[in-house]
Amino acid sequence: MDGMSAIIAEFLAESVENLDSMDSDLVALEKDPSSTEVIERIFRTIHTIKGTCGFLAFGKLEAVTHSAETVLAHLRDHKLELTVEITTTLLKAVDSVREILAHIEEDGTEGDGDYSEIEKELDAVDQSVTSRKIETSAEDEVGALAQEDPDSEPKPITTQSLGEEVTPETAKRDLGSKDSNAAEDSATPTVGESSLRVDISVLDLLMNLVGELVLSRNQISQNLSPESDPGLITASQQLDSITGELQEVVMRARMQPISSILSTLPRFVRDLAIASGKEVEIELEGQDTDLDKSVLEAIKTSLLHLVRNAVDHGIEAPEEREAVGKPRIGRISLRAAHEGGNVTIEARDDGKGLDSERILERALSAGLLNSEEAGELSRSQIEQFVFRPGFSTAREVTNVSGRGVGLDVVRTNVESIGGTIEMQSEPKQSTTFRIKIPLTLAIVSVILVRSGGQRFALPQASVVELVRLGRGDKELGIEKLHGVPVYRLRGRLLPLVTMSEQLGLSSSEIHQEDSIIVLQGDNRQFGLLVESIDDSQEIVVKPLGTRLAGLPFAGATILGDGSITLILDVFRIGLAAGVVSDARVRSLTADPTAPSHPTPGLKRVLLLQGSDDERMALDLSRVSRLESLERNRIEHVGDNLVVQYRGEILPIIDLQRALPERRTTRRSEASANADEASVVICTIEGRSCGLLVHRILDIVDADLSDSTSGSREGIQACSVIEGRINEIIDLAAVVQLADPSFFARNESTGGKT
Amino acid sequence: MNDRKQYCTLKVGELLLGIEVGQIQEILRDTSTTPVPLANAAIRGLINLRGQIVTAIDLRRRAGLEDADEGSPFMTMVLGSAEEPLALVVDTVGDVVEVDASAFESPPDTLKGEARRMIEGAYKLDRELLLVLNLAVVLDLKDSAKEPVE
Repeated sequence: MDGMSAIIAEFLAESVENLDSMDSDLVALEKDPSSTEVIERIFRTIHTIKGTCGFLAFGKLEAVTHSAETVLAHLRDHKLELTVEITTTLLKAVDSVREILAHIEEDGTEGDGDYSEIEKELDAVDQSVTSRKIETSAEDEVGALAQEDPDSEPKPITTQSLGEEVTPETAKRDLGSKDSNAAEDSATPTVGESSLRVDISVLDLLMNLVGELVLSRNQISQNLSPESDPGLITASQQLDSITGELQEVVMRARMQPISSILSTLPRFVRDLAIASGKEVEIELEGQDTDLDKSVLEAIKTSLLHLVRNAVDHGIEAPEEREAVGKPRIGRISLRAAHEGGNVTIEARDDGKGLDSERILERALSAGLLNSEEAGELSRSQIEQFVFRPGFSTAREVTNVSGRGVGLDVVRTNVESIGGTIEMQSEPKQSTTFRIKIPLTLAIVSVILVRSGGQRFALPQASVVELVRLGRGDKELGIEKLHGVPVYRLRGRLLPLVTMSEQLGLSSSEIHQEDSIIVLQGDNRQFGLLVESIDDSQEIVVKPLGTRLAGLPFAGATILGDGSITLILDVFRIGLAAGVVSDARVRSLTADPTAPSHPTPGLKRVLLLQGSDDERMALDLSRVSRLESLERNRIEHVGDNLVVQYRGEILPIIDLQRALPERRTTRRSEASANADEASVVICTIEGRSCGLLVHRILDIVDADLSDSTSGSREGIQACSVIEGRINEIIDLAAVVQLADPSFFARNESTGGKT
Repeated sequence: MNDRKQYCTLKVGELLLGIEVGQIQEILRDTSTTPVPLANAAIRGLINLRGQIVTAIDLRRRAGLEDADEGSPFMTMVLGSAEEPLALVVDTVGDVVEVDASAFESPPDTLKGEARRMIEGAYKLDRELLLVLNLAVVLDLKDSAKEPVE
C-alpha cells in the first residue's frame, strides 16, 4: 500500500500546483480568449487530473473533471466563446477539484461533498454548444460527442478533419486525444530533470543543522589563538569558508519565488471585482523575486489584505471612474524587487485615495485626539490613523471613506518579521503601500548589549543608531520630563527606556547605563538605555518554548562560547514601556511621554536665535518637526520659496525677511552661506509650512503670563525666557505677512475648517 | 503476574519523588542556565543542550518550596516525552526503583497546596514513601503562579 500512497501524494502535490497556475491562466484567458497556448495548458491540467483519478478510483473527482474537460474542449475548438459566466463556472469547478483534493490529502477519501450542481452547470454549458451544433453541422456534432467521451475509440479523426482546416493545433490536439486515457504521457507537464521535490521539513532540518554547524564553527574559531597548531588554524579557516558557503546554499534552497503567493491574486481580484461590481485589473511585476519560505508565509495574508482593500475601497465603480475622467478599468499593480538585503513589495491602486477628512472625523469621534490637535495635523499624519488598531473596525468609516480594514493587523504582521510598511496616498489619484521585509528570518544580524549584568541581543534591523554617553555627557544629555527620561538628539526629544528596569533586573552599581540604542518600533523611535554595547554578530534564531510566550523576547540564540542569549523583541519592549502604543500621532508635540500642555501657566516653546543674536520663541504645539535641509533644495517659485519635502511641496517662509525690520543694522549673511538651513516645520490651519530660521536653540517650558505686547507686526508678545527677552512669534501673522494668499489658497483647495 | 514499574527517584527538599524512567531522556550535572527576565517564577532559565535550547523548570519553586541555599548542588533531568524540550531542576537524582503497580496508593493527606496537586500517588518503599509526580500538572505553568499555597 506504500507505493500507492506515494503515487497519491505525488498526484496531489502536482495537481495542487497545476491548479494554482490554472486560476491565473483562466483569468488571463478571459482577457485574451484567442490564446491557444493558455487553453492547451488548462486543458492538459484538467486532463491529467482526470486521467490519474480514474486510475486511482476517485469517482467524484473524475466526474467533475470530465465535465470541465468537455467544456474546455469546446473552448479549444472555438465552438464556444469564453464569457464571464463560463469562466466563473470553470473557476468554480477548479474550486471543487481543489476541495476534493484537500479531502483526499486529509483522509484519503473524496469526502461527502455534493458536486452534482457544478457538474450540471458545466453540462449546461456543454449542452448549449452541442444543441447549437446539431442545427448547423453533423460533422461537428460527432466531434463534440467524441470530445464528450474521449474514451471512445477509434476517434473520428477523418470526420473532424473534413469539417475543419487541418492546422498544427488540430493535429496536435488529435495526437493528444489519442492517448487520453494514459495517465502519464509525454504531453503531461512533468518536473524537469534538473529539479526535485523535497519535503519542507527536510529543508528545515537542514537549516537547523547548518545553524548548529555555524555555532560549532564559531566555538572552534574562538578557541584558537595565534599560538595554536598551524594545521589546525588552516583547517579552521577552511571550515569557516565552507560553512559560510553551505549556509548560503541552504538558504537559497529555502527560497521561493514570490509568484508562489502572487499567482492566486488575479483570480482573487477577479472574483472580488465581480462581487463588488467593479472592473479591476491586476498587474504583477518581479514575480521571480526570491524570498525565504517562512517570510513568504508570513506576508501572504497581508498582501491579500492590501489587495482586497484596494478593490473594496480604493478602486471606484466604473461609472464613477468615467465621471472623473479615469479609465473604466481600475488598475492594481504589485511590484516585488530585491533591494539590498531586503525585499520591497509595492502595492498601488489608481483609485480614489484616502479621504483624510473622514478619517479625521472618525478619529475625533473615537477620541483619538481633540479638535485642537486635529487642526494642527498634516494630511499624512491624519492618514496614519488607518493603521490604528480598532480604528479599522468602525463600519461607517470603512464603508464611506475608508481603507482601514485590519490595516493594523497588516502592520503588526509585517513588523513581526522585522519589516516595515509605509503608505502614501494622493487624493482621487492613488494609494500606495510599500512593504520592506528581510530576505530570511532564520539568520539575523544582532547587536549584543549588556543590561542588568546579563547579555541580550537586539535585531539590527530595528536599530537606528547607537549613542554612547561620556561620563560628563550624562548629566547634560538625559533629562527628566515629567518623570520620564528623555534624551535630546539633534533637537528632537527621544523618550528613553531603561532596559534593566523594563526587564525587572537590578541595575548593578558598578555598571552604569551609559549607552543609548535608538530603536525603531511601530513607526516611532525610542532610546534603550543599556550598560554597554558589545559586539554585532550573525546569529541563528531559535524559538522559545510555549512556557515563555508573551515575554518581550523574539527568541534565543547560542553564541560562540556556548552561552544562551535572549533576543529582545523591540516592539514589545516599547509597548511595555508605553512608548510605542500610545494613541497619539507621532510628532514633537504629541510626544507620547509628555502631555502637550504640561503645567498650567507654563507653555512649551521652541527657542530660536535670529541673525542679530536676537531671541525668538514659537509655541511648540505649532511645530511638527525640526529639519536641517540642504540649502540648495530650497527653490524659488515666483516670489515664494518652496522645498520638496516628503513627496509634498512645502512652502518656506524666511522668518527674517517676513518680519518687518526693526532697525537697519548689519544683517549677518552667515546663515545664507551655510550649506544647511534650519527649518521648523509648522502646521497652521491644517496646512504645513516651513519656517526658515537662523538657528534653533532649545525647547523649554516658559511662563508667558508675564509678557508685554509685541513691538512689531508678526510678534505676539515679548517675554523673558531664561533671563533673556524673547519675541513670541505669532505664526498666523508671520504667514500672512510673508504670503498673503496662503490662507486664501487654503480655502480654495477645500482644506479643513 | 505482577505488573512492575520503574521509577527514577529524585529529591527536592525533604520530598522523595519519582518519575517513570521512560519519561526521562538524560540527567545532567552542573548545567549553567541563562535566566529569562519576567518569566514565570518557576522557570529557572534556558539550558544549552548540545545546541538545543531547553527550558528548565525549577521543581523547588514549582512546588512552592523555598529556594535552596546559593551554591548548593543541583541536577537537571531532561525530559524526553514533552512536545518541546523541557528539563526539571532538582536537588539530587537517586536510584531507579522497581515497584509493584498494585501497591499504588493515593497521596498522603499530609501534602498540601501546589505540592499536593503535582502528586499522582504514592508507593511505600522499605523505609520511605515514594511520591509519583504527575508531569502534566508539573509542566503546566499557566496558573501555578497564582495558585495560593494553603
